[in-house]
Amino acid sequence: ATGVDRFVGAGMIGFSLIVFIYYTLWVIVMPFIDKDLAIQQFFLPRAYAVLIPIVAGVVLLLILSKKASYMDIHLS
Amino acid sequence: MTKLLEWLTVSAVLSLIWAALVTDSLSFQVSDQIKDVLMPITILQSLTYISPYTTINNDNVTAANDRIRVTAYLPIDCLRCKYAVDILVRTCYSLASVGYGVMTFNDCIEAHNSLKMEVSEAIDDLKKKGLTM
Repeated sequence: ATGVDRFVGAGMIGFSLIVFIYYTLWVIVMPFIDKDLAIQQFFLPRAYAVLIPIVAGVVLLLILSKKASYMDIHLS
Repeated sequence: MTKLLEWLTVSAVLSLIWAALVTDSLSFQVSDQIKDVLMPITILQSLTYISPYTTINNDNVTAANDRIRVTAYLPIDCLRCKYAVDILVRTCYSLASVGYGVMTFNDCIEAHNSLKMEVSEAIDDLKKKGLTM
């Protein structure tokens, strides 16, 4: 694991850590913070905490099913 | 007890605790913020004015408001919230484990270099014997 590989691996780990920590703060910590503090502007309304993963999951499934249907056409 | 039964029992116990807290079935008051964390809210509910989260002062949340809130929880919406959290956590974990594997992959550089040298030696050897590649 040298050079670009290490960088890409570290980037993946860092990105997933950031996403996880942000999401944890969003879902678990935000309800307990007063509405008028400035930190609230960094977080979207909490409905999006449910919408965004579900939309991303649906898009992923669409892409995967499109690729799978491609392979069937190729084989026949 | 089999593993399946173990998992089912634990998940049933946790689900019962969650459902009891969410539907205000216990004798103590569960605050709004804790319910928000348990994520039983519907997407529509958080956008409408009926939700007590949008009231200006929470001291005046009446029993009527509480009843409106409880009847607006549908099981499918609770599942939707839990699935979103589940999807995101599992995606993060998969991405991190792939990244970790990429970082700690054993490249064996010396073996790679010696293999390259052996391949070039073989090509030269074969060229001398008449085989062109």
